[in-house]
Amino acid sequence: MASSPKAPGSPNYRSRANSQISPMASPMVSPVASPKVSPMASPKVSPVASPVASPIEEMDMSLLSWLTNTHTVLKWPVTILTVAALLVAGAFAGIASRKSLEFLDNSIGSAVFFIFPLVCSVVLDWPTGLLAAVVSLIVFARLQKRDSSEGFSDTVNDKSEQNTKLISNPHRWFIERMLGERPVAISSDRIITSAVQGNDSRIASSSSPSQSPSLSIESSSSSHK
Amino acid sequence: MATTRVVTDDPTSLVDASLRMIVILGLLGWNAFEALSLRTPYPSSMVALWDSPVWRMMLLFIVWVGAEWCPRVGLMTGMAVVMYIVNMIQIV
Repeated sequence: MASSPKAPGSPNYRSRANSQISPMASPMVSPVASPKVSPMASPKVSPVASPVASPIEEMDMSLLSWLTNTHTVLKWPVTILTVAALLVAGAFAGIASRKSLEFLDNSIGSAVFFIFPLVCSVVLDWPTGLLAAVVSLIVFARLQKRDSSEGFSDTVNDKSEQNTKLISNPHRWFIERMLGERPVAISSDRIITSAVQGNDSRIASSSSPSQSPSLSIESSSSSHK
Repeated sequence: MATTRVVTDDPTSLVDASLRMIVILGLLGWNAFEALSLRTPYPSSMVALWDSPVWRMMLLFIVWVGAEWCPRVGLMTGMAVVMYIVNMIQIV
């Protein structure tokens, strides 16, 4: 018994006692269990002394543990805030002006479209990463379309009325029937073009009127799904 | 002190599994015949609802909720929503 590693007088026992053994180990070395234990060693293993020697884990002060703890504490609120921000961004990206999103229309912006969902899925959870990927695709699709002021609609005097109209007429145009198209909306049903105004030396030399009369052509135009 | 969190995407019951299968097959059909088909227009009500920001936010929220429920449902919902919004952006 005296040669046992758990004997109170042995070096092993002293080392374990100094290293804050849990109280569960104390009955195994209690004086009652080993009658040959010397009285000098008993205070070290008595139940009264065990609270003093209770295990107090040292706080891990490393950067990794700090990051892990911060991530655990802040994961839920950050997820909620990120989802809310993604909902707002995705809901209004389609109607936002292109100029407000042009800072993403370059190589770095294109990389952000891939990196941001990846970061969300790694740091938060994958459903949030999927939502971030959906929003990135929406923003990317918005960047591919020019603003209406940049295209043909600029020539149409439609400042007071909305350009896009839903098609309520069930009868399709001839070209739509031929091409098998079933449009649900029409982006513009009237385009007004005008002849170029200005002095042309060839026209001026060959004809008497210096300016040709302006032509106004009205035609129906594109419709698509 | 170390806690292990078991993450499983398996259905919890027969009803759950049935609902997942119904939703997945429904979204699969929608994506195949409606979202990815250029010849099939969206219902006029969905086109009209595009103007509502609440409708657009709800669509995106459904993507997140569907992904939390089942990964396959989330992927199918995400594809359907992306195709719808991209088409609406091109139209409007």
